[in-house]
Amino acid sequence: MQDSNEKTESQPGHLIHPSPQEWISYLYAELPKATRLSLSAHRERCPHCQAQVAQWQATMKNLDAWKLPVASALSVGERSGIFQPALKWAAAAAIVLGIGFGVGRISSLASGDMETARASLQSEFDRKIETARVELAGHFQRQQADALQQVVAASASGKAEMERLLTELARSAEETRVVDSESMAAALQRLDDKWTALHAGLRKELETVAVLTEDGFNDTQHKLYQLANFTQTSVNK
Amino acid sequence: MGHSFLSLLSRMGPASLVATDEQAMWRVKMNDDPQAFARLVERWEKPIQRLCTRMTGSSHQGEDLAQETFTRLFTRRKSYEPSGRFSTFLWRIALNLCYDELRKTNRRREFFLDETDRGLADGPDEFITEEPAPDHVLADRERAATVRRALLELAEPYRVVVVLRHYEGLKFRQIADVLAIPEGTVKSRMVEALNQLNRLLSHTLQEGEICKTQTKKPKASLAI
Repeated sequence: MQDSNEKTESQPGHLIHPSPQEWISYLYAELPKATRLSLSAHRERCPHCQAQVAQWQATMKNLDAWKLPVASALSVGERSGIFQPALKWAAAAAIVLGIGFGVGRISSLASGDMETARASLQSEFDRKIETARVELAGHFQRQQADALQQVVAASASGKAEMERLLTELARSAEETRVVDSESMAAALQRLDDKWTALHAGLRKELETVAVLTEDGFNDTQHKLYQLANFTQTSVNK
Repeated sequence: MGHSFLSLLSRMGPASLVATDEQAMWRVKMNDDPQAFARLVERWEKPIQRLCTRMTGSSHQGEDLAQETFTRLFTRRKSYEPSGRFSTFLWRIALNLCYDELRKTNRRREFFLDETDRGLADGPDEFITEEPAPDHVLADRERAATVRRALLELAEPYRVVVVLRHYEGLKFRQIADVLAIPEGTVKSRMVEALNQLNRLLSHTLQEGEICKTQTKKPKASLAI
């Protein structure tokens, strides 16, 4: 795929087709109005571009199918964990009922007293169903309480984790601040050392100039004495 | 988790009056302002989580990477330059983390050399449910899973353009800034991505299974 936005020529009818890049901008509504209208007009009369654009639109529509799930209070794993034991209890109750039904059928055939057997079987069924119902209800209640405890525990651990993270961030910030201040102190110390050295150099040079100046004064004074003596001698002669 | 984080941060100090993300980030950079940081997290947590989830194909990885993105944002606050858009800075951090994670996943996959062990990226964790669902819900779920797998088949340079443009709604110009490539290249990649997706999806919908493409996946990273 090329990066150019050049238009391509078609064989029949000498239509100038917009480039794929232009069509993409068109599909995502990123074209100025005039260009958009121009492309719409072209699309109306060009079956080739019509098909291509329709294909892209179909793909874009397919992309919309992936919607991100909304986070729930309990994860899928936790939910399945909660309800799995209840399902096991239900299955166990069903098996017990099935066995009771089979035994009842066999015993009823042996006795021949259908009415008595049916009544006995019915009461047995009712009793077992009631027992299973009570057990299931109790189990669901216990599971709900456990789930609630799990949610509370998860919330507490999340909060603790965040507090730990926050403490870590604060510590990191503090360390950075300490490092920064140490760097600043070191830079100031270097500047101070440099200034002291410069000051000492200047003082030394100044003292040198003073000594030289004093020597110059002494020399000049000596020469003036010599000149005065010479002048005095000349006058006396 | 993110909400606890926000609530903790919001209790740390008085409300900061910051109008834009750039101003908030400037306060974070200069003053370590927790309130400004909380504002940025609140504003960008969901988009970053969505981006990471779409890039990796896993909501768990998406959540972890979003948390890591904001941790890295804080640790790298000093390198933020206010001349650029904050969103560009943040998208780049998140994308670099996604690229790193995808490389790790690929290395693990190559190490085990097991096609059935497709890692988190191919796991059906987004769509599992224990509850019975009507047929049309199941069909929608299956379509979503198909699209997710097709998107993961795309090479990263194409996938990132699709995610940023189609799902996150960034303009092509903004995507070009984030990826530091010309706008024309972004559009070309979008065209190519849609063409590849069309092939993958139409084949899948017809055959009922994903066609494995042999696309080269170049290393990618963004300068922050």
